[in-house]
Amino acid sequence: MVRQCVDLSASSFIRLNPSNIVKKFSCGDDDLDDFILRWASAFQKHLLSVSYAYVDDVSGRILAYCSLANDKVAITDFKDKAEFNRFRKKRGFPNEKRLKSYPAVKLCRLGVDMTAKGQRIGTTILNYIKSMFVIENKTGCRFLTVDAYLNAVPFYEKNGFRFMTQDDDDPHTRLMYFDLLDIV
Amino acid sequence: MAREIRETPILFGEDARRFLARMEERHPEPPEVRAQRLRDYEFVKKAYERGMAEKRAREAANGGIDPWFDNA
Repeated sequence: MVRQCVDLSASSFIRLNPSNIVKKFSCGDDDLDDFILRWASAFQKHLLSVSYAYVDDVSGRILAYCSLANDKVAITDFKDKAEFNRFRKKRGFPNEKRLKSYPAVKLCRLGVDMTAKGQRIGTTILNYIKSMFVIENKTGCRFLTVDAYLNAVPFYEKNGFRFMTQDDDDPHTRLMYFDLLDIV
Repeated sequence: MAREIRETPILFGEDARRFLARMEERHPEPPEVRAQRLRDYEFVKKAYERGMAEKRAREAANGGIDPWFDNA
């Protein structure tokens, strides 16, 4: 795969709708490719996520895409999940003192085409998303969350994300978050 | 099929304590990082406004279908 110099000033950022079928995209990760090529449209149709694409106006290439959905971060003062479940069974749903949640947006997918990597496109999109949710947010949103692929963890750490839990040992991903209050 | 994205978990115990403590701290971004972020925001915002205006025009001219995706 030959990397090509991308002129972002000759590119557009668009919101995809369910009828927009992306036919060609390869970021080097089969899961991310599969989502934009086969599933993004259905997720959009059922209002589960919204996908955006960076497109080269001249060649028509999809340079990058991202997909966003609403999320929340819930925090409880129970010491572990077992104690939480015992309480739920005994007393019904926990009262607000024992479970607090904060609004968040989940970065479901973010992929940059192999031909356009190494040109800050991912960081540029991430900076846009962060700013969008503090400058022109229509609803309250405190955190940006992501289920990051292991090889993308350094990218997210470099961009100010932190690990959600200490003992996350998933073989594929790490749950991470960014506190949007840090950029207000 | 693309792998399922894990849901954000409810935080318990030490994870919850650590998270709340972190929420109380402020970690403002350095001025140069902030300036770059805002430049990126303005840049993509313009690319979005331009891209969506062109996309809507293509759709209006083609009965609601954007033919651009047939050629992409």
